[in-house]
Amino acid sequence: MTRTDPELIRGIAEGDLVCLGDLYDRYADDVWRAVRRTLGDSADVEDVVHTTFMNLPRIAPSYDGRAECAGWLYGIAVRHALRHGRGASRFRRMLQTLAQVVTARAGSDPERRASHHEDAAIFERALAGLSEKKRAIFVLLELEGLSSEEAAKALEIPAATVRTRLLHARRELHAALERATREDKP
Amino acid sequence: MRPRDCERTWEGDALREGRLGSKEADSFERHRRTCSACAASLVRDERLRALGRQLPEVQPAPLAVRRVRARLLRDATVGVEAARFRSWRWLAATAAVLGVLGVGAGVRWSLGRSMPAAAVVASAAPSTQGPFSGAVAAGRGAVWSQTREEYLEHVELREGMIRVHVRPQGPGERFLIVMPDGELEVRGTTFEVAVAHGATSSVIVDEGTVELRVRGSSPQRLGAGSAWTRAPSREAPEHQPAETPALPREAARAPVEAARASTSVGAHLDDSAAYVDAMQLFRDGRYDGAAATFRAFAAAHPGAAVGEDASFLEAVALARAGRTDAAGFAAERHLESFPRSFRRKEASLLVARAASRRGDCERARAVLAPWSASGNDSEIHESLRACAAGSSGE
Repeated sequence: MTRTDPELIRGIAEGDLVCLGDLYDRYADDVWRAVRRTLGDSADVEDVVHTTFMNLPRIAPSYDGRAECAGWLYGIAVRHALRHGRGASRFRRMLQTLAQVVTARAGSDPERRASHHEDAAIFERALAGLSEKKRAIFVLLELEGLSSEEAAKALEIPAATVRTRLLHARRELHAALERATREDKP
Repeated sequence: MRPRDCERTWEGDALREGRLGSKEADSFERHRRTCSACAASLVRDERLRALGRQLPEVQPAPLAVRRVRARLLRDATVGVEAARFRSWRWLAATAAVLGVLGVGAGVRWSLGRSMPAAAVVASAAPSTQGPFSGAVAAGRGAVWSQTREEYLEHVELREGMIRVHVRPQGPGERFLIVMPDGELEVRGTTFEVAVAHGATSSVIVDEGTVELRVRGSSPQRLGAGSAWTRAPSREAPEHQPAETPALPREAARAPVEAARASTSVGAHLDDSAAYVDAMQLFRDGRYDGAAATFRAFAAAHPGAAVGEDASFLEAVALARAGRTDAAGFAAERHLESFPRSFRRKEASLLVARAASRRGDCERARAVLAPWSASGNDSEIHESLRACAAGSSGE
């Protein structure tokens, strides 16, 4: 019988490793995606995903019992990702890596540049250029579909802060897209 | 040109999230039809969401997912948290720098926190970490305790099996496992030790080196991938363990080191080669070597597609080598690492055989419980035979 999220988290709090494995199987891909979009650097994503689930036995007792724990897990994962990427050198390296990857991806495939995906490539680059905090908010709200209240709860910050960061993230993305469009025009 | 901002633009998000009441929602709907700033802002935001949906799908590689899963369950089993270790090391480095700068008080405070004068954990706890340098994960029914006094840490094991991960010891630190009939000293390693009927029954070393001192035997060092098991002796029921190095040192280490050396060249290329080597040893009937090579392979490639097979075949090879206890522990490890293993029943049979052999009939019956109810099963009867004989004798 399939166990619900609250049952699995209760089992994890009691030290049941089978529950930990089951919850990992259920949400590893989702958590991976959120972390990957927040952090960019694939080498660190594994560590953050590992740390996210590894911390569950410790923090499981504080779970609020909601039926689905995806938002809660995203919050834990993104907090770890932000903490993980706090070092300035790591942050710069991550941005450089991501910029290289995106540039290479966009530049090495002329057909792709010419296709209707060009905007998406520009957008991806602009997203990578956001600060980690703004990117995390944009990923959680606009890509993962959390509400501002859910993101605030997950990240343990005020909802007003979430909305402010989202506003600034959007402005920067719009500006980057407009800039790219102007540069592309002859 | 970008339209001027409107002070009601924020209501677009509130409407989308359902944070507006019905009157406010209607009001904003009417407003947006006439406000070019709000209309443009909503269009721009929707465009961002549409572009977000066009981003390449981010899917982790299946092998990476399995690798993290294996690492997660392994670390959770021994109570090790990699991040905590990393931050501990970082704190230690900071403390060292402070020491160099002459901030003696800060260093003393740091040492005082990490090395309390004395700490004790009773056997009721399933695992420990806290102020200890060794993390203990205890098997069912294990009776043990953990104590630390200044630089000396003891784990006393009276009965059952424990798996221990010890961080590298600093200058002056000592870590001892005390069994009824001997002791183990380690410097930083991961290993399992089992005691049955008041005597050490097996020691299996995953990483590092341990020194085993058992009463009546000369001290010996056990390296990574090697194991020691007590030979069954009907003539000596008074717990005088007959020393039987389960793997002759050279025989045991050669395949392990060969497998490790090959992986250092290039993990992807050598994945299959190391596994093929292990299979060849297995087919040749060189079960000790096969077990050690499977184990080294599984340790070096936790995310390999055949990792589950290697983990199970290690247990089978040990069983065929006649090392029932070690096979049982390997099978326990397999069941912990791969709870949904296709070989769950076979692994459980190996666990049960080892448990019934050392007289732990409760564990033997428990591990076979999922299959015991299904009717007559000769394998299950065979695995519990020792228990059945024991109970009929009573």
